[in-house]
Amino acid sequence: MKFKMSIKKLCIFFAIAIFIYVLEQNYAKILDYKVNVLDKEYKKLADENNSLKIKRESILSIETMDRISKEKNLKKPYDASVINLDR
Amino acid sequence: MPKKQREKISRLALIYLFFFAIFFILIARLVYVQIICYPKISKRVNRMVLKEEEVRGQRGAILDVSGRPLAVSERNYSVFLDPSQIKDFAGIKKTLAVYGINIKENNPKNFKSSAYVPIAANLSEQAVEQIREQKFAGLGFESHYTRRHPQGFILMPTLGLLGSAEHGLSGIEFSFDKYLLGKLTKVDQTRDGAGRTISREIINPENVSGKDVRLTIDVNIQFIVEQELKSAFARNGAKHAVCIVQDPYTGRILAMASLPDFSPNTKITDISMLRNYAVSGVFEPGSTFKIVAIAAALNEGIISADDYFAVDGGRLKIDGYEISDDPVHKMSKYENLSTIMAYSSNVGLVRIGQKLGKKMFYRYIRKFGFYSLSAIDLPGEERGTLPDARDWGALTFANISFGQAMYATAIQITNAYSAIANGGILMKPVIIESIDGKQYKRFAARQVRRVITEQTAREVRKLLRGVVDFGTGKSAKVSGYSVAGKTGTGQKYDASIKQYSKQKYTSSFAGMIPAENPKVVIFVMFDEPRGDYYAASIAAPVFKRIAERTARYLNIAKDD
Repeated sequence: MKFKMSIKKLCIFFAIAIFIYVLEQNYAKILDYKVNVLDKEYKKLADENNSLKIKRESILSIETMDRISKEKNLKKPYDASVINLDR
Repeated sequence: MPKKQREKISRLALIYLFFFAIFFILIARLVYVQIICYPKISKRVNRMVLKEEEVRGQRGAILDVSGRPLAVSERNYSVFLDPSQIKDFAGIKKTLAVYGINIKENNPKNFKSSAYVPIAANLSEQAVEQIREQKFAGLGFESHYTRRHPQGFILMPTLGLLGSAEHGLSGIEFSFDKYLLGKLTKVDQTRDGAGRTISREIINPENVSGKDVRLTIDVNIQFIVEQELKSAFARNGAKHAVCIVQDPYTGRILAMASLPDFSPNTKITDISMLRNYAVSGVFEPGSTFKIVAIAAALNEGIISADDYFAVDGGRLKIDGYEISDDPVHKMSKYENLSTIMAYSSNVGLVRIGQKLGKKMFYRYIRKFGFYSLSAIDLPGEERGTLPDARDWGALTFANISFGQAMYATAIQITNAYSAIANGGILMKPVIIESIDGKQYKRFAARQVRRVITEQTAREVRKLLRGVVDFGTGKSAKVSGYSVAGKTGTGQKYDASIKQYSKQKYTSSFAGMIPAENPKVVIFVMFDEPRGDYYAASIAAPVFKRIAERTARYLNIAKDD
């Protein structure tokens, strides 16, 4: 009788253990998917950030500044009007 | 046991046996599949599920001295079709047309039996996301990096181009390819039945990206140089044009332009189109070379600044050939060193060379860095040519005195003038500031040798100042600054007629500003300008405009 009770408890224990193991494995797979989705999102944002930096540099390039100054008919300042700030 | 009970037991036993047999078969099958066939099945599953991808890290950027990007990589996508998988071709055509991609074919069968039909390149991430949302079957995207030039197509011959395999073909892209190239990494990933990634090795992009190369070039000075050079180049229709701006004390190159140049969109039909004439173009330097004989003779104490030389009215015959000065300057029988330099007397230089002697003159030419590689960190540098002193006849010796019968490069001439500017030390020209923020000894500024004394350098600068103040270089004068420099109008040797051409010339000006304690050395050269070819009309005015704008940008104090 005692022996039968121990076998029963052991079986229940194994059943619970296997259940937890299977659950954990599935959850790990779900987390894997999520991590990879986030990694893709991070890479997408990093690429976008890089593209925006390039666009900003292009807009602020000296070639663009020179073209705009010519279009707006800007004139060179007199030497006395230029103040140099020490950074 | 009663018969009924025996029958009941045997029926039960049969049922138990039946279930046991099924159970046994299932277990046996399980053992067979899970254990015996495991290696074979596992291999097949791994082939479907596991994927190893080769990923190249982003190429490093090329920056100017202030960190502004001159060449940088941006991720873009190319679009391709798999005609066998397409279900809604009309939908695909309509969607892609919105992004400027027009497909001429009306039926996917027109693409023949290919499973990969590229249709567009350089699509942005945003556009790809929007198209992906439509979930078209048979439409795929490949990501790759494209090289961008945010400052415009400036400094292209120095920067160079990338080939299709993301390796540099010319310029800095080529010579620093091993630093710029991103690392190639193998990434393991697991996919599910629908092709979605379950897990993928996470790589830190910083660990695999290429290194950034920072140059000594200042993009503002480069822009000034290119704007002025291109404007003059268009006006005078020259074959080539070059300009170098250098810091004489450190050898750092602040700007370097070579025309004609190119852009990544230029169709390169000949590899020579990629040449950087500032380091690989050789030409007879002409009168800009006269500083060598004069500096050498002064340094050796063979002549002094107050000496007079027999120039015989600007005419001299050597070995039956006449060497003459420009008759405009009306040389008398004897002229002093200052006049000889100011009015670029060829006869005067021949006399000085004769006093120096072949051996000594040759030694100083090599000391000044001619007929040697300057070791600038750019590909394709040429040495030029210089006959051995033992082979100099009287005429060759005379010609070399005023910069003919030998070939030099723009970087060699700039370096020689920097040696005069900084008090007599030949510096290695430097174009690399740092790599990924780290300064490397082999790319750093370095004194090559002392060529002349400080006193001699000062005397030569004084003579060069005379060229600009009252000599042939008056058009190089910059208001408010003292300028020292030398014009050079050199006849080109025409191999087809085996003599010097009366139509082909190089027109150059090498100078420094200010004349005392110079901050920059600038060399300008035009090869075969059409029409007027005199340096005073072609090269000197371009020097003046570049020097004026550069001096203002660098806040160089006025001294005149």
